[in-house]
Amino acid sequence: MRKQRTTYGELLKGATPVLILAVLAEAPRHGYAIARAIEQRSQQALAVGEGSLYPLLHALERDGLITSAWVTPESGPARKVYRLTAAGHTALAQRMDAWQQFSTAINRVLGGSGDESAA
Amino acid sequence: MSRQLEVYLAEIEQQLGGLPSHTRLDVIAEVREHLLALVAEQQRRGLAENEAVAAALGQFGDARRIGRRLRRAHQPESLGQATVTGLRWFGLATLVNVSALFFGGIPAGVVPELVYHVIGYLLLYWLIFIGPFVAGLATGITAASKGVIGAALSFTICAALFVCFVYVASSDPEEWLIMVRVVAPIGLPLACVGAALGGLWRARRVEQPQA
Repeated sequence: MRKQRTTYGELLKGATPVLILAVLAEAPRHGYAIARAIEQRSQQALAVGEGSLYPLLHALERDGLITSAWVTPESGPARKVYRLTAAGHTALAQRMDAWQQFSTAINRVLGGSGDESAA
Repeated sequence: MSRQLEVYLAEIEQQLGGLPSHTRLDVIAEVREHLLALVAEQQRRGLAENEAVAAALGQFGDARRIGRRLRRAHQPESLGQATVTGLRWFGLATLVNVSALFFGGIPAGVVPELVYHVIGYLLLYWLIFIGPFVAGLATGITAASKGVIGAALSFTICAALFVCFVYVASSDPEEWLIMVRVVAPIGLPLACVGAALGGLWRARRVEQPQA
């Protein structure tokens, strides 16, 4: 499992910010919950480096794509909760669109189903 | 609270130097909460506290690296900082160059001729090729995105100081002109190429996910 996650880690390069935006589009979450949500939604296949999550979250906040606030629940400790901004929703839509085009192109190459009639 | 966990948080905080204290406290509080949640999760799986803390810290990643990335997320490098970083490296290279001039003043015969020539050539190449490149590389690695401009500015400052030194110290009034004609056109591009390579290398390292 560890080896598999490391391999995915290489593939995850550059994709983590869009995963963060996607899980925050679903609901506001704190860092720990974001990591767990990515794991659960990928059926444990993707494990974002827990420590590397925060530099990315803070960079996304600096860029105005998310905001944060400390929230104290009825039980349990206070946690910093992140939510998507309007700019974040727009950025997510753009990045998802780009990702779809990218994955389609990759699948065409891997599946060999592209238009090869010119060859 | 586990001492191991406190040491880990202190290592992260050490990397946050230069950030306002409220930002540092905020970052550390957030990381602490995440780590405590991870520890609790490991304990629910049956690990003893020490084992749970060790597992949580392992899962979180290298403290110093995370701290550096957190600092950069809050404080992208400014041109001024990149130039100061470059000045440290090029200042060091300039010191070597000044030493080279003093070495040139040693009368022939004091050291064996072969040693004299080998070291003389090494210093010459350091002056023109190796020094600016290595100092540029170091600036690129430590100042990343602004490394090239920082390297160019700091190289120009150090080269100007070095040429002034040569002008004052040299008995040959033409020697400083040679320095200007040779050091600047060759050294400056080499410094910039070094900084670009260093910056690229670090950018690749920084972007590498810690899965």
